[in-house]
Amino acid sequence: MKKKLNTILLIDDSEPTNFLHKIVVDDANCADECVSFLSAIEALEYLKTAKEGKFPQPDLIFLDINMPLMNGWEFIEEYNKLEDNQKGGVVVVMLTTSLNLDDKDKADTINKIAGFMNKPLTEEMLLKEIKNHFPENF
Amino acid sequence: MINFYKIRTKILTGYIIFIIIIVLQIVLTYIHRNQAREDYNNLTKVTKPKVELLEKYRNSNKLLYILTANRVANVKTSLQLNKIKQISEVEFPFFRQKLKSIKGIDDKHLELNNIIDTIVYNTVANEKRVGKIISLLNTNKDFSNSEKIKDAKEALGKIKYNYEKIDYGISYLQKFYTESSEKLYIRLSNKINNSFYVLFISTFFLISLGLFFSFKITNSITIPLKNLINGTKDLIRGNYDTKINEIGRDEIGELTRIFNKMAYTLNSNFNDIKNKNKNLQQFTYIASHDLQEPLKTLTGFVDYLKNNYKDQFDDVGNKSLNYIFEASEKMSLLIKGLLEFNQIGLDSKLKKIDCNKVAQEVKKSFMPEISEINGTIKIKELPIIRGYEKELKLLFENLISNAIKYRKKDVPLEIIISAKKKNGWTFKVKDNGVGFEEKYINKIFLVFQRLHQDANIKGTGIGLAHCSKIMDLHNGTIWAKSKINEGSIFYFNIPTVIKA
Repeated sequence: MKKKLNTILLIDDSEPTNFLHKIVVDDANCADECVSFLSAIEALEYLKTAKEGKFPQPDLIFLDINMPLMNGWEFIEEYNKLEDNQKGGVVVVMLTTSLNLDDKDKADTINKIAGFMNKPLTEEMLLKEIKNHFPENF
Repeated sequence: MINFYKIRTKILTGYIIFIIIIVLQIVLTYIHRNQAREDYNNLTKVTKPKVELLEKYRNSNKLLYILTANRVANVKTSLQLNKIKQISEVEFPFFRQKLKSIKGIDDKHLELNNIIDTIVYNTVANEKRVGKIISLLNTNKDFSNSEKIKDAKEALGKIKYNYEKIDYGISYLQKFYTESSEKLYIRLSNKINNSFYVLFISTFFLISLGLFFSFKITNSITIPLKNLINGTKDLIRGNYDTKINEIGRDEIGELTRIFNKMAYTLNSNFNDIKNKNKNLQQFTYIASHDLQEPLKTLTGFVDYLKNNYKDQFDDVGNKSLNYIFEASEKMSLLIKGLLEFNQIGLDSKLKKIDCNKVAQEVKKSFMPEISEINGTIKIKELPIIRGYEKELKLLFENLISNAIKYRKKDVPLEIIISAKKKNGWTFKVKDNGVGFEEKYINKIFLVFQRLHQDANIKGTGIGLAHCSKIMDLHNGTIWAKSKINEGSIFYFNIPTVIKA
């Protein structure tokens, strides 16, 4: 890769999943930073918090669907209400264990969702997504 | 028989019968009245005039004789001659004519007719004789003529004879007609007196007839309707086998037939569903069982690796192994939970349960855990109800287990179990734990839904789904009230009558 992404954000309520995905991201060496959260609410807080005057604006977000309190769909709703400088040109990909086609169809109707895949995230899938959405980084 | 007509026809028929009865009543009254009127007319227009005529005739007869006798005896008055003439020349012919006209036609009146003829004959004779006497004793001179006087007296004698015969005849007729008139009068009076009874009886009879028909017609509508109502009540009670007797071809009969078809359809559909349910339960049971097998393999090997390869793995490796181990444990719990969920209500019988006993048993089983965390369980007076014992015990266990799981760290746990009579019996399990946001109230009863992030709180999220299914089994409901940091109250109600 020519240029690494700035931050990859992982949102999943399962600690093992985040652990595993973080390892995958770190091993692929494709981002400066990898941040994970166990709840969508915490993730939103993170996005709304400016560090040294700048919002995190991660390049890539991997989002789980089935989470307690606020699930993936609800997160996207809230995410769309963020300011532009809190979002930026960020791509969201939904991860799921669901074999349910309804979920995929729902994802296709929301244009902010750039992709829809099954867990777990592998290095292959990760690189494919980055190539897809950030071709200039390669 | 009545059942074979449309309802509209039945009602119209009933109405028509009612009209016919009224018309019959009117006709009867009319006929009766006519008969009485006939008698009345007879009396006034026929018999009475006869009687009056005879009276006048008799009087005239008597008067004529007296006047004539006086004249012959030379007792004269001013109007005497005129009156004599009037009677013998005007009244007598007139009366004669009238008397002739009342002669009867048939054999019954033979004797009367003879009498009338005799009277008429004698009257004519007297008219002539009186005429003769008038011409004999015309002037005053005549009254001195002894010859004329002699003739006159002779004539008078005959007149007297006839006069008596006429009088006798008329009195006979009078007697006859008076009797006959009295008979008619009595008959009329009886008729009028009877008419009340006749009318009363006929009214009574006709009304009874009317009532009979209206009962028959009404019953032909209400009895099938009642059957329909009872059949529907049966259905509601859950007896889908019900079948109503299909008699009648009116609209209700049609409805009954359709109802039976509907009951049959419902029955077969429900049986279908019951079968599918049974299949589903079997499937879940088998699947969960089969899932246990590879799971055991997984846990077995992970355990082995954990124990024997700890030193050969780095931090990441060990951590990964731990995650695998925890995940398989959770999976085992989930499968167990599913199996339990599936078992709820299976092979369970409704019976009388003393909730105090059940609650005390559950409390006892949690005693070690409760005392360890310094908590208390208070059980208030609970009722004796009809329910499924095993499931109810599970319900209490789940609620208490949840209360323990979601207790506050710094406040000793206090659980209070109580009940009050409302909608059957409404039970209340209250705790002073961390509570939850009420807006998620619906989510928490779904299978596998958890509200709490804390990975330290072990749980599969099935517990409340179990409780929900147990309440379904009891035809009851379960709900909750809570505020963050102010504990939670779980309510569930069991109705008095549970449909098996």
